[in-house]
Amino acid sequence: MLFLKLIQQLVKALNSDGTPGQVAAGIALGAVFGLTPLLNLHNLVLFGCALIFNVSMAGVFLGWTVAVPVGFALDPLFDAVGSALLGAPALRGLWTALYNMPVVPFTNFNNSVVLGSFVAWAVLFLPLFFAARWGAARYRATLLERLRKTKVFQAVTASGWYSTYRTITGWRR
Amino acid sequence: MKLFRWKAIVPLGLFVLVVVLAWTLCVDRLIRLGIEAGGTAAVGAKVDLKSARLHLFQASLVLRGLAVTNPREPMTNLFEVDELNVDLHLRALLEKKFVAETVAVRGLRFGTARTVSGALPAKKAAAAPGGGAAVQADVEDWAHRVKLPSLDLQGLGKAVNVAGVSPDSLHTLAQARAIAAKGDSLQASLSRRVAAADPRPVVDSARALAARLGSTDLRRLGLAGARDAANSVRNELNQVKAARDRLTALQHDATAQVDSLRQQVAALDRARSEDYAYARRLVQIPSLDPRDISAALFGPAALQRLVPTLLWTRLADRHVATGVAPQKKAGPKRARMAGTTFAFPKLHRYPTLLVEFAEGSFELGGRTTMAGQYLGRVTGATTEPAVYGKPLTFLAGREGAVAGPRHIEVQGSLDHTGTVPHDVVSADLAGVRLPTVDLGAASARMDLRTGSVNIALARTGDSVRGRWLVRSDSVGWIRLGDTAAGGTAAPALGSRAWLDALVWHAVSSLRNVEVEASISGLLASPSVDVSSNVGGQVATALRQAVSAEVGKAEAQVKGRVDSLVDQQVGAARGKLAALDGGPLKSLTDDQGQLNAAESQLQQKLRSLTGGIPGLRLP
Repeated sequence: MLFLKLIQQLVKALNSDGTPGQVAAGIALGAVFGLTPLLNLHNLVLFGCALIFNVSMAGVFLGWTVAVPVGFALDPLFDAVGSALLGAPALRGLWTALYNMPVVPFTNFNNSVVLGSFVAWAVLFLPLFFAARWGAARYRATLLERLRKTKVFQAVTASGWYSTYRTITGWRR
Repeated sequence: MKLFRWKAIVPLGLFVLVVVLAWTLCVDRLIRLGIEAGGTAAVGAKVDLKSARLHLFQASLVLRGLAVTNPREPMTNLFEVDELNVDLHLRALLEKKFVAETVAVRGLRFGTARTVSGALPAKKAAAAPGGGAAVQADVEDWAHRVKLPSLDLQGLGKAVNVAGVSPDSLHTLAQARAIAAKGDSLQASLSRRVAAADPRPVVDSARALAARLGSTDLRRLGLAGARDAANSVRNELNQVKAARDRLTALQHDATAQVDSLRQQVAALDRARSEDYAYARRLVQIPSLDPRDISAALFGPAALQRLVPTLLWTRLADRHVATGVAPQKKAGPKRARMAGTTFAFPKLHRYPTLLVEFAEGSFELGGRTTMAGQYLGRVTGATTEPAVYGKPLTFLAGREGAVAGPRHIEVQGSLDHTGTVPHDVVSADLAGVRLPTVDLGAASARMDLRTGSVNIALARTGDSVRGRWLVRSDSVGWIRLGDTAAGGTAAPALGSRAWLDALVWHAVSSLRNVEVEASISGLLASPSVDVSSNVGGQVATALRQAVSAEVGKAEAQVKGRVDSLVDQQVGAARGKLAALDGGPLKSLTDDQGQLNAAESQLQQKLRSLTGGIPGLRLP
């Protein structure tokens, strides 16, 4: 089921009316929801950003879906990165200031996995964006027409999910 | 292409509204679950809360039906509260901190019965992050390890098996061997260092110079010759002083090391006394010391009361941070890895959890002497005292009595604001109904009836000192067990029946009783001492009855211990004497020779400079 959903998201994102840049921005932004533990304030803010900014929502959901297993797999690495950053004497002043600031503690930045995964996402944001943009552009130039003729593609575009998606993407016009 | 998707504002607004609505619907439940989980982890037993209601705009929180299980008695609540009204600090809430400006407590009751057990499953208890179960197990383990003397006289009149006293179990022997080994190594190292610092070449050279100048006619030396001679003396003097400084430093070091050994040798006498006591217990010779008898009679009851005190002190320690350094704890449980959550406290900001002022009145029902109205007050209860900067204080006192007691007051201060915690707790209860105490060691029950209790506990860092004093002048005695057992025949000396009869005869007419239990030492494993006039009374009776038997057995045991340790103790003392007479004496002698040489040279220098040592010849 997860795999089918992934295919569905992929097809939706790559065949949306958005530019490759919008799809790539959506994927890069959506990756944060999969890489970092979900129930934190920064994810709420970034989800708001995804809605407000004209990025591909299908891209957001694709990035989210793909990043979830990656996030789980890389948790020990995130924990190590976060612990190193939170324990660094040079950064102690920064963390102390943030910890004693209103609202900021609700991001749970002081948890090693949250901070490690967020920093990893921030570092990967631009490489992810450029790679996704290149991939989307290449796909549309080469594979799209051949894919349109497949039964899977036709099944996806005929689904209820796809109709909803078309409605949402129609908002920006 | 537009940057913003303006049409998404309405859905976004709706999304935020849904989030806020969900939060509003769930926050009370989340608070309730949070308090239950946090409290359970801290206490090591179930904490139940019927409801929590947060009024965000009034900045208040109302908790109803709080019940905290007594971890030592899972079918009893430590306390139960009908309602807690909390005035919150909103700015602190924005910093994800819980600061209660005032807490009003209504319907506080102690020791209420539970309908279901509040014990945690063993696995869950062991995994509780607060470590309540681990601390409880640790304290109970300490209580089991406390060695209380037994009042068992069954070995009296029988042959004493002194061969059972094994040399391996005697502390004196181990200590004496260690001292001897240390003495040997110290002797070798000091001898080497003394030989290396041998001042004889310097002394010989100084003496030779002094002798040479002594046989020289100063008038024939001339000015230049006298100047050269004075310079030679000064050079020699400098060498003598340098050698003496080296020796002085060595002497200080050697004296310190030998003094340390001397203290260990002095401690051998104390170790031998402990070994006597150990051997006496081993061969079951009862101690006739009133303190030992008091400990045998009241030790179990005293421990029963000390365990909760230590348990709560140590539990509080676990949840109260010292200093303002970053703290780490395991992250929240979730599908993802929990990780580590850091806290970065800062001076003069809000602590993570703070109750600035809490007050509550409570009532103990019934017609007993404890019944009446009470008032309790707590200030500055926080998990980060160093951040808050003030100690926790508490006070509870009686406002009105139903019957009897005139005065009940419990107060204390827990100061964890510095690096070394300093806690003081005292309780004075006068005219209260005291419990009955079973004296298992004497098959008797002591009903203390009405009396007074004084409790004082002071803790500084890892050390603790405490006293629990109970006094009563209307004590009643009840004899337990079958008093008719044994028929008309007199019980055998030292038998249980004989002991019970002797103790009963000694104490049953006592009306004034005073029992004092004290603890001192490390908080993790303090030593316990118990004294009582009951113990004194029993000791006197026992001495009259069995002192000859006990004295004979004690002499045998002492003889056995002495025979096992005398040789090693003698050797240890010998090593110390060898150090005193060897390297230390050499150092003193060498110092004397250097002093004599220096004195000679000074004399020569004075004669060369016309009696003015500071005068420099051209």
